[in-house]
Amino acid sequence: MAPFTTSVAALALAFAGLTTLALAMARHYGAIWRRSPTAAEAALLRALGALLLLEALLACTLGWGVVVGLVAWFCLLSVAGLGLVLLLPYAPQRVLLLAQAGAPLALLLLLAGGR
Amino acid sequence: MKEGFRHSMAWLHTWGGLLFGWLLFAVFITGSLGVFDEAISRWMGPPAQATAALSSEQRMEAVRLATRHLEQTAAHSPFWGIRLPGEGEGSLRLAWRDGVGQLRIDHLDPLSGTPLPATAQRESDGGHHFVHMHFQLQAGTFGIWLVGLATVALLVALISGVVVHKRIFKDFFTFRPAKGQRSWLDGHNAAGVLTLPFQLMIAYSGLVVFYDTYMPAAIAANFHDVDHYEQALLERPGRPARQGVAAPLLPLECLLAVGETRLGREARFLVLSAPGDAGALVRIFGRPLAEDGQQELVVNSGVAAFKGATGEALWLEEPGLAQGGGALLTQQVMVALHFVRFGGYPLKWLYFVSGLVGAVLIATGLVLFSLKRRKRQTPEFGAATASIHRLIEALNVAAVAGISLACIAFFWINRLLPTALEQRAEWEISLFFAVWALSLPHALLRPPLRAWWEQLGLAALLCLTLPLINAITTGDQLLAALARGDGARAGVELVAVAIGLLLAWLAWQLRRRQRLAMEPLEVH
Repeated sequence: MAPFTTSVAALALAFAGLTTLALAMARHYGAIWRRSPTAAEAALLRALGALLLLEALLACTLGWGVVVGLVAWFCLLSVAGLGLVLLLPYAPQRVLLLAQAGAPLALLLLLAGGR
Repeated sequence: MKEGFRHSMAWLHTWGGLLFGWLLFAVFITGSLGVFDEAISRWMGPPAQATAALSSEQRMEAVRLATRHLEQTAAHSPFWGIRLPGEGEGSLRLAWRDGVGQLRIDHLDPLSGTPLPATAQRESDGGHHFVHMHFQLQAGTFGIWLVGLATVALLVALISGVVVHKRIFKDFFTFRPAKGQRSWLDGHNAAGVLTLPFQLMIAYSGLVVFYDTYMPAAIAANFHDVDHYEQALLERPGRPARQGVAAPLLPLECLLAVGETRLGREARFLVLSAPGDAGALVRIFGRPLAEDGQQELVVNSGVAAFKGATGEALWLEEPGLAQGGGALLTQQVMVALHFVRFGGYPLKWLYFVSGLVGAVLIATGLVLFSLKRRKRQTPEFGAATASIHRLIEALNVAAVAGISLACIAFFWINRLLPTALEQRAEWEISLFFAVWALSLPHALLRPPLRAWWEQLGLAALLCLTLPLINAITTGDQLLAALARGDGARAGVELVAVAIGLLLAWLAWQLRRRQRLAMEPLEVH
């Protein structure tokens, strides 16, 4: 699959995954929902976040193979994380929207490209 | 005990970070630019020529013409370099050393062998300047050692930074803007924590590139010299020694044809050591293919080596194959990780951004050092404290804003220096250093905030007007480059403009800050 498509998809998935992991923390959860997450909610968010990061890894290996894909994944996580950290204090709601819209679109892109 | 440990780590992080941060910022910024060395070289070099790929016969003829030219002009040079046209380069580029050891460059038309005028070439180190700058500061082996020392200090700073950072997981995604020192620390932490894998990898792999320079003892104890070590490692015959006996070269074009067959791909570059000597060595380097590095880390386009006088094949490094066993393969993988020749443009961009974040990490660390001391004056140097803190501030400005200014100035110098100038490439580099050197007295003469915004503002201005100076000096326009799909040239200018906007915002913020700080004084 074209590395460009996969890198866009993997970036969106990494961003969504890291956002979900951030939301499992009281500080960032509170910035959006004005309360602390319950233990169950936090656990669920963490599991979902980890799953999304794994999907990002999958996208990278589809684009570049396992070896280069793994390097790409680490770099993408860093860059997505920085984007998140810079956006989160200014527009938490929009970060949530971006993550919610980005992840399904990325998966669709991967499915369309994988055929 | 535990607090004692953290305290000493904090000390190490602060002072080690400060001393080596000045150098490391330059290494990170030039190293990041070096990721795009080919695009920058393309931008800095002569205008793009529409080049049809040369056929095998045309390449042989080009090499024959090159040999004829070199035999006439460079018979006594210790080496000849011949770069064939391709990858956007239209000319046949010849390199050799003249009688006083100065590197000389000539360009020929590859089909007719006519020398092309130097004025048409805009001779420049291009993007290689940034690559060389980041690993040896253009100072040879001494520079390699200095950068190595700084890199070890970087590893120490990264690890001591993790120890000092008490809330590494709690603050993982935390950035609180517009809160003064708090925000700088958040930014410093986020930049470091989020890109920690990259920073550790790039520092460590950078050291591994020069393992035989940084840790020469094992090789020195067991081998006559590095050459013998390589022979043993790669199980290949040694480089032929200079005999001092003249012997005619075999026609190079024949060796080219054999070399290309052995490599299974087109040649990009030929290097002759000791041409005209019975011990002449010919090395033929393969051209990278578009699919190289799409799936593997180690990208190697192959080398075929021959004896120049007899044509005897000496060794062959096959493209894509690793030689020399597990240890060397490990080293090659680390080197490949550092050089990012794999994964195409997406990976280059990721490295570029991660590298710049590394630069931000260092810059914020330097700023924090001064911010903390501006708040509470600790008399750490006795009576000299104030002046030493002032000097550190000025060095911070020159190390961060000054080098950024020098980097963009390098692009301007490339366009403004006359193309007919002798040793033009060297002049470009000297002027780059001159700009950087001048940033220090400026930083010492101006109040700190003013020095910061003036240098960053000037860098921003140079970045934002780069397309303009290019249009004025070459007649080529950004939009025209975009329209003909010249991504390398257009990309350089677009990135410069984007960085220029960022620097302009930063300079404007700092200027506003300085005005606010001065107001009370003006009222009285």
